[in-house]
Amino acid sequence: MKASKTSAPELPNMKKPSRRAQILGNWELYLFMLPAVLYFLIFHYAPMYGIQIAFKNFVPSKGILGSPWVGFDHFERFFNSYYFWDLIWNTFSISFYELAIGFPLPIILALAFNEVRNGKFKKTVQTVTYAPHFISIVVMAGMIITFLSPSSGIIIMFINALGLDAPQFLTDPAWFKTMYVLSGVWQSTGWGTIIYLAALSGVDPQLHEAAIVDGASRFKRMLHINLPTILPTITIMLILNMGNILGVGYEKILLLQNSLNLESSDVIATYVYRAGLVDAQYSFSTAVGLFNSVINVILLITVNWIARRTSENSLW
Amino acid sequence: MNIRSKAWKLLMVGGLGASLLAGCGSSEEAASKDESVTVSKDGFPIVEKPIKLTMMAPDTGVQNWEDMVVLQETAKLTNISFEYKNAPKESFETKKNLVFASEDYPDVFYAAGLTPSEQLKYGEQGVLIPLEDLIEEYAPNFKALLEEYPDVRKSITAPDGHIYSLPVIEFNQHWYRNPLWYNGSYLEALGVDKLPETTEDLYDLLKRFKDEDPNGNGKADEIPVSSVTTPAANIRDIRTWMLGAFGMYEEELFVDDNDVVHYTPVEEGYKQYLAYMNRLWAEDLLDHESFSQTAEQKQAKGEGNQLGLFSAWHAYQLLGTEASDKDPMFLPVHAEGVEKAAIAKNGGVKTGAFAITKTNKYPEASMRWADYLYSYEGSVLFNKGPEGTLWEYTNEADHTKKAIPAPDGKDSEEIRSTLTPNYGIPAPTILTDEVNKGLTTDFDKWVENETQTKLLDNGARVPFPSLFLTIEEQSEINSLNSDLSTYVKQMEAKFITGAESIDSGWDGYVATLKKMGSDRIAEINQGAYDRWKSN
Repeated sequence: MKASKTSAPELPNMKKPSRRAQILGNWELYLFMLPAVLYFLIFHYAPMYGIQIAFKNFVPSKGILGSPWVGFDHFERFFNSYYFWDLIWNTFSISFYELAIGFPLPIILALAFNEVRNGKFKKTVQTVTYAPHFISIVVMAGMIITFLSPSSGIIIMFINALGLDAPQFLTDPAWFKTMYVLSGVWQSTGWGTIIYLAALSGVDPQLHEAAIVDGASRFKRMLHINLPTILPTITIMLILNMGNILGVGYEKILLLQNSLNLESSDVIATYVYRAGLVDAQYSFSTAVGLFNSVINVILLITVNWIARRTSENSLW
Repeated sequence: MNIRSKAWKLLMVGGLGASLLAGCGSSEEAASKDESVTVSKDGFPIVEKPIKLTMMAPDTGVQNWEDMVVLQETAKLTNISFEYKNAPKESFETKKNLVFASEDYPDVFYAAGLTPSEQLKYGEQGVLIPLEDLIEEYAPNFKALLEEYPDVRKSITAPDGHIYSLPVIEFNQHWYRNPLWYNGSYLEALGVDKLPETTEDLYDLLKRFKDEDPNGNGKADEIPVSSVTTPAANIRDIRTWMLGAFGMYEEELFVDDNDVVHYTPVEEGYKQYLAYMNRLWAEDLLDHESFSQTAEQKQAKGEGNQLGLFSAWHAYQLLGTEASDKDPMFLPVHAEGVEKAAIAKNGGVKTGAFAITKTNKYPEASMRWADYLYSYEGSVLFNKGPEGTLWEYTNEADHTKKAIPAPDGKDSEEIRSTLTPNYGIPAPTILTDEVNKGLTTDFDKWVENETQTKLLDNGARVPFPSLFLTIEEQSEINSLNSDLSTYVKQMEAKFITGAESIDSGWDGYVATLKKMGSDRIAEINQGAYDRWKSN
């Protein structure tokens, strides 16, 4: 292929070709990139022009540019809001809870899958754990409500049959976060293993052979061969997850929210939804959303910085 | 290769530019009117050559609007057809907000339930066009109606003197919310022949529902009262009636007999209501799923004959039985020390049902189309379906009709919902006795009598008139309300379920509400009410 010929590894003593020549020489590769770049430009960068309404009093008929500026009024209102600290606490605690439980589980499951030799059994278990991933979030919330209904829910009946007193999962604020995180685990753990399984397939079998000769047990090999091999993948996944940390899946929270669990289920995203889409306060909700994004970016940069300092892996 | 790559680049850049332009350039000016179409001022068709407009409306999801016979017949009659932009009834509010923000307006809104503040806001911005001149010229039926009922004109005219929407007029529909109904079989099993009149009587009866196995299945599975919480409000379907027992109207705002506006959640009566509900909750008389269950789950309990007192349009619909006069309507109870229960009544006129936007090229034709809905023929067609399907004339001259039984033993209401859009949504129309003439069944008459004796004769009235706030007032209320209403809703649930003690928590709760601006909300509305009153 032409591309491979032109992009042959450079030799140190060769004069570095100009950037322009480099791009022209590899134009096919850039062409492949183009759709993705366009996608981000059109759907992620162009809409940023609308962020300015966070600093304005947006009136639809005047348009984004024509609406009057109000400075930081909307931000002030949010910071002074009765719910400000509740929202921050819930958003962070749900996110970190989810990360603490939901992040290691796929890794453990993937390591376990990797040890299963029986092909048929392995495939069955994998398919079973993948399946909940394909259930839409609305259906999922409906299932959770039905299963946990105190009068007819199958899970409640099961707990009661064991002679235990089933908690009010749906309405007790103390249980909301756990219910949210555990149902998330049920839905996405299996799917999350895929990327780690792919990384595990790259483990050099010679390492295992050598370890077996040295008398290492299965568990020891998993710990000292498999885990270090997928560590870069884990780091990158962790950084990516941190970037999303305040973007908790608000659809599911919204669907499971009720007045009784509100004190532990109200997050920034659901607050934005109520202010923006229900009450039509577009400028205010944009300001809150922007605040959320800024915090997110700060978190992402911090974690990436820590990762770069402590290991060789980082996004940039 | 170079030339080809340049061509690609140009193509891509061009594509990007075009899509960016498309994104920005969508703000349209008011549509230039299409003068080529002549609109006849009377008779049909309304226009000579067929035109097509877009209509935004809430949808109950029973039938595609394109396939509704009533709309098809009207299109044939008037030569005006519509492209329907429906959104499900449950999420219509959200969709409506998005449409107003996106500037992608439909030509007309149908059954949109535009609030007074929306009418004023979008009217002043020029999105909704003023209708009064069009009514004068192109709406003979509606104009006659305004002359007959001057109050209707008063309630639909915005403070700037314009009319931005046409109303729903139902002078004989008095329900503010669905009534509560007792399960008749429970009352019979317990030998109850006198309905409770006070909150204590009611408590005793609910207790008996719970303990004496009125459904006779040997299990204590009876749920004395059940309710459903929606995003708009907690247990609204029963709180309207429970709050009434303590002299409070259910909405956040009401005006008392001395023209003083009250913010309900800080009132003493509201506190007593919370205490009463907390008692029902603690003794398991109020369904513990009331804050989390869906309407379907409640329906299932109703059909399983587990419910004693519940809200429904008609009791038989929730119990899954035939229409009967065995399930009595709830007689509003009153608490000790409260002279009479506050009973809310529907004012009969609801604005915001039909509006025309600035992008509409044929406002005159649209107005004449809407005017048809307020004629006798139009009202019969839209509310009863076409003649020969569910009804026929016994005497066409004096408009007497008789019902045709629905085929295959189906419920005729179910069939009606597939014929006409006017089902469960606030559609622009006028519903008069003439429209119903001959079609009222014995059951309808019984319901009417229950309404008259239990609600109207006991002093039901409109809790708060639907009045217009100025844009500044409205935006101040919106910003106060976004936290306030969440807090009220959250605390109501906590007080009722006992998560927060009423005795120790009430004072702090009221203080927080005041800090959040509850007094200001009452104050703004008092001002608006006084303006309305003096008009």
